[in-house]
Amino acid sequence: MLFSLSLLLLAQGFEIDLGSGGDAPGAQKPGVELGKSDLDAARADFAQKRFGTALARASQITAGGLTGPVANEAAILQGLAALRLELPRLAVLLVADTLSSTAPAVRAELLKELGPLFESAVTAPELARVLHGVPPAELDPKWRPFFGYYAARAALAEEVAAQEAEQAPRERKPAAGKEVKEGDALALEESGLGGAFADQEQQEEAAGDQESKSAAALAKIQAAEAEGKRKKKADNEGEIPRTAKTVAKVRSLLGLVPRGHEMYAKAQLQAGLVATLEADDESALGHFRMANKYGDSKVRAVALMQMARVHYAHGQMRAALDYYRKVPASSPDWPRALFEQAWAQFRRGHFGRVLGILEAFDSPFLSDQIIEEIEVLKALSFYENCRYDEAVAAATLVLNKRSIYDRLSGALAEMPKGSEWLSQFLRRGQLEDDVLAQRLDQLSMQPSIARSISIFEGAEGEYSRLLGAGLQPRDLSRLERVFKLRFRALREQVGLLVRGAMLGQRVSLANLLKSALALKVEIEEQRTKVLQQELRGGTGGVIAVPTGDPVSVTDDYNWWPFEGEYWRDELETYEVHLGSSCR
Amino acid sequence: MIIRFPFVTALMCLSLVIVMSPISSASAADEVGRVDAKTQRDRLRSVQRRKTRKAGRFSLVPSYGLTLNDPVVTTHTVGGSLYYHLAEGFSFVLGGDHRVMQVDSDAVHLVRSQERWVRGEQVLMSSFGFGASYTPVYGKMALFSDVVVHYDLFVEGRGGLTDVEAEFKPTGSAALGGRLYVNEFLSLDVVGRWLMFSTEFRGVEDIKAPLFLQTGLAIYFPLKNRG
Repeated sequence: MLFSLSLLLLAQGFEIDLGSGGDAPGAQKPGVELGKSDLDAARADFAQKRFGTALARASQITAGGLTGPVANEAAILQGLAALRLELPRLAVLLVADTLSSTAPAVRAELLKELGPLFESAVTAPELARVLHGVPPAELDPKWRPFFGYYAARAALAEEVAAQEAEQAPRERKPAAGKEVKEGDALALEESGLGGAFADQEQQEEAAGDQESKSAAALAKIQAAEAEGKRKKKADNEGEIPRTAKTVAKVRSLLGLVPRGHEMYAKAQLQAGLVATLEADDESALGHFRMANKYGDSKVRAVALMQMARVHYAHGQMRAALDYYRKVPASSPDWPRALFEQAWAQFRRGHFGRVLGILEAFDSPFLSDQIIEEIEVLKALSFYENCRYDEAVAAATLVLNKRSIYDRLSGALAEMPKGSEWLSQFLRRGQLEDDVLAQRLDQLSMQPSIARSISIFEGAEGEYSRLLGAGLQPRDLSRLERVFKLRFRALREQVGLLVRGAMLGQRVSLANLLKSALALKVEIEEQRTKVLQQELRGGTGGVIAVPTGDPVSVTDDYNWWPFEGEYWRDELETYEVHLGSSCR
Repeated sequence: MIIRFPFVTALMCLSLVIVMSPISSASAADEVGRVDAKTQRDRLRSVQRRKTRKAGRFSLVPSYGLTLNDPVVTTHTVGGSLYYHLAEGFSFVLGGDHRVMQVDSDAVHLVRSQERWVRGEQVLMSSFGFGASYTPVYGKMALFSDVVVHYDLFVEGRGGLTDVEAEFKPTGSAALGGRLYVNEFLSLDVVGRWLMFSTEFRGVEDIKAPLFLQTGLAIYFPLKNRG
């Protein structure tokens, strides 16, 4: 369920935190009550509508390392001036560090003017973060529900990220269901499994023959999984109070969104996620139903996915499939819903449907989707039907991704800084490295990354506009001094998001490679049993036998033979009739 | 036994032997346990539920029609049909049409003005009947590479009566039609329908077979698909 939460939060946006940049000038310096005359001068400029100059003067105060009331007032004045100059993103950026520590009377005017930024889905999340620590009562009643929703979302995202970082990777149970998942990336990295995988091949080579290689691989995987379990158990003990605190906070924030408000459906989604965080799936389903009832098509699609996942987690595959099928094909979540349908079909033992759904991912309609687990699921499905050659072929395809894993590892080692990754991301179209270009392209489709990049680019665009607004050279140099540091921090933060996502991909790939290796070992063992059985002259059991013709369909169904052309409306309906199987 | 064409008979027998030989050997191979690669291969297919499921539902089709095969007089009709779909491919139908307008060509006006005494030929006023419909073809097509439309083709037969200026004549009709499914309760129907009935003009019995092109929007009841 945590995985589901992570996916959802990633999908809806886990933006950069403008307020947490450690590079804020003067943040760590001793406070000195200076700059009062500068502040008065800035105020005078502001009063005379010389907003650019007021901004520059006020920036000089904060950039000079001042803290305390004067610096706070200067920051507020900066924000107001930026808003007057129609630079909302810069305004938020400028007040990010000081807003919550400023006296209510001082920030009241700014809060009033910042309110309308809640109307834009791009500026609202950053504003909610910046308003962290500001009591909702200080906000205009019109904007409180927006604040409640976005602040709750941010708090929940932070909680899930914290839990992800603490959790060990999920264990893999072949032939039992949906074991291989993406996500849990940072945790895996921290637990050292990424490195462990890198060493695995060398150990296997040292081990010699195939059998000992397999044994070494299995031992390694088991050790890693045991380590993961141990960490999880240890961490869970300290996790409850923090989670409970977050849940209470998120609930109180969501309470600011009344029924009938435009954010109500989205708030219900968050409430559902909170309930899943507490393992209260009944309540979660209730909230998701409300979101489905009151939300627009986008919210409905997410609610349907979540309801499907809750049922899936409870082993109610038919109900899960019903919800997955309701996700409209126009939704960006649809490919994921389709893939999760394949897992649900796998759990039901409908392997023909599993392979059929996976076939859809070969179609041009879905060719841009990178879902690494497809081949693993394919391998498992063939294996379950005693189709060992095909299973091995599919597992080998997964193992061939080793080069991608190596390339990602190399790139992550070569570029430890966020700013380097941001620059790679921004010029991904011109990259000669196909692996990186493709992966970064895929990242650009993630709403959270896209939104953070858009925030960064928007802020940069506003800054360029400010520089071109005909300010005095002295003012320009003051502003440059402030924004150079701000943007450096921002660039690093956004870049680290990109790097984090790439790290996630690498670790998930490592997980997958391990699973494929373990599966290959298992298949080889099974093949040995088949040979033994064949030597004894036995049939059936672990040997695939011809299955005959496919079962005919009922009157209200049609079947269309696949003749090499993919139809958009058929993607969800493919099924493979396995010509031979042991089931 | 007398064989009239010994050469032809011999040739036929020879052909039979040639044609049968490979089949016989294949059967023999199957008998000894060889597995046919065709039956053992994996086959991919799309199993799709019909968009509009008709079985157990009614459909009401208000329609407009006009004659196509009378170059002199064009008859316009409005009508309706009520179907009960026993299965996806079979339904019973009750329906009828009523003439709303008749457009005479210039030739008719000319003849009438020259031959004042000419009495107009009997005209069809309405017809109705009961019958059955069978749908042997179901398919789909992509429009503009974007919209996929499901359709079917059906044949229909009806027996009933036709009102020819207050005289009711026994009538048979045959129809060939198609439905384009819009959603689960709507389809656009286009039907070509032949009516066949007898008339009498100046003491001469005649069989009339007007061909109507009818279009209508079918509404299915209940509005939701079953199951």
